Amino acid sequence: MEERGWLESLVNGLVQPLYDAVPWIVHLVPLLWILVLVAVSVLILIWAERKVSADIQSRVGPLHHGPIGVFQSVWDALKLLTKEDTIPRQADRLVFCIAPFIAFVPAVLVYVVIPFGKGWIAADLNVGLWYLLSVGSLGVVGVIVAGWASNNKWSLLGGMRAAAQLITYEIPMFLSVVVVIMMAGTLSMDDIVRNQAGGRWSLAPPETPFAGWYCFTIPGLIASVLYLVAALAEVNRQPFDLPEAESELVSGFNTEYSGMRFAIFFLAEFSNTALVAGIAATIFFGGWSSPIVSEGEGIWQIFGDGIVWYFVKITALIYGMMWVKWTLPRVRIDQMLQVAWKGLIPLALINVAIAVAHVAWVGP
Amino acid sequence: MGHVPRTQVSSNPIIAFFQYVWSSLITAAKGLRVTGYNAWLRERVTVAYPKQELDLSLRTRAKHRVLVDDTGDPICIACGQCQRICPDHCILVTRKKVTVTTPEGEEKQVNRPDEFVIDLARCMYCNLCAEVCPVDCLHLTRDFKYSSGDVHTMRIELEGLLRPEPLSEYEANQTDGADDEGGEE
Repeated sequence: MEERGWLESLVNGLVQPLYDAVPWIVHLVPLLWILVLVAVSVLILIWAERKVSADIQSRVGPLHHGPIGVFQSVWDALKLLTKEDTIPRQADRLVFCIAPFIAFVPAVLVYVVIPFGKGWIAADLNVGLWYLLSVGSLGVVGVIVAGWASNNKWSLLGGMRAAAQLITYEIPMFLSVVVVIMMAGTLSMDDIVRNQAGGRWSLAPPETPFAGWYCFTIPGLIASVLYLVAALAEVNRQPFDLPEAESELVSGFNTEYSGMRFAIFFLAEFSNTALVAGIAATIFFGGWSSPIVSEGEGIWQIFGDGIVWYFVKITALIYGMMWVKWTLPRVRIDQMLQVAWKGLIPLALINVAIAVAHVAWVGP
Repeated sequence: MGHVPRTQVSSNPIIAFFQYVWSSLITAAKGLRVTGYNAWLRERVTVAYPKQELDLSLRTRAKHRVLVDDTGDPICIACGQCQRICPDHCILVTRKKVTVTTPEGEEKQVNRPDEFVIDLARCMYCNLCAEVCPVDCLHLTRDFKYSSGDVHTMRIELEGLLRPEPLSEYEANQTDGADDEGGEE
């Protein structure tokens, strides 16, 4: 009781007057949550990336900072913070300096419409999915601009490749998302998840809690595979990491970057990785809806719908992406475009036709 | 249609397209199976050295050791054969005459090393010095932990090479192995 009194006095004395003075301050709370989430998850992801790659190559990975090396990326970040920030003499200074932020800001902004759990959504826009894809695509502008401003041929080539890759892989990605929009009949991320949580129109047995997930419908299954392949290219991960192909372009668009600016590019890349996994989990794999019980009783409550399931799904998808990254070799630039134009886009178009048939005959 | 053998690619372009898609999925899955096996089932090959050590081979050759007799003196007779055979010229032995009392009670003049220096930084651990030693007093042990930031500390005097304690089991094995080596090959 005493603690509650302390909290109440804090709210009455500090938070309430602040809210009265500047009411829009409540909007900063989700923003703060998103920023902290992105920063922490990126640190964990970098560590996880190193551990997963070590696993796959029968090594052990980082070991020494913290239990099984979990604080390794914290120390790496500190190291990057203290490094000298060099700007090439011939670079376009202003553009060079703001490019990392152009890449990073969209990567954070898109988290606004991600439904983490029931009601855990910063802004339930009725054009959520559209906002997500359009704002998410802005990040590549930062990459192109960085390649241009560095005044370095490798950087410029990396930036140009990023542009080509974006233009190419947006199409199969959008076409696979269109399938979900047709089945859900809405663009709101929250409604898409709710449709899946309450649905029962799939190949899965009708009584199961995951019967409504779009990945268990035929067009949804194909679309989820197409989406994940296109998403790998979208976030410049292997086997499609041509904008920063080490063996060809030194380090691609970030060749000239060092210190904190480089770290921000890194942050944007991993934030985008988590994001595409998050989108895939939301639109194909039922978001926060539980595959075991939707409304549990007693001990089963912890397995019910909620934020935990969302993170479980994201973790599984990211593990899959890392697995692919450390397995498949990098494709050549012409192969990359060929995969998209001759492979993914025809498949995605066929899949849209299948989805039309699915919606017409089976119902959404 | 890279992954499908040319003879199996259908002449119908639509069927060929799906063959292409299918073979991409299959080949990707094959690769993922290999790395998945590595990640989950295969043993780690890395040894986290300072915390965890490998069992050294019995024939591991590292720091030298000069055997001593019961009185604590080296049994080396300072013949200088090790110095002569050393390909790296890293051994220096000088001789002095020492009077010792034999178990029978008579006094006897013997050769003993005055200065016996091995520069481990130059040594390539070829074991020639140990093989050539006529009194079998010079051996290469498995003690490899003597790295240093200063190269001059790698120059070991006689005191640093004397090993009064008896041979441990594996060192005895090592010595036998070295003796048998000629016969085996």
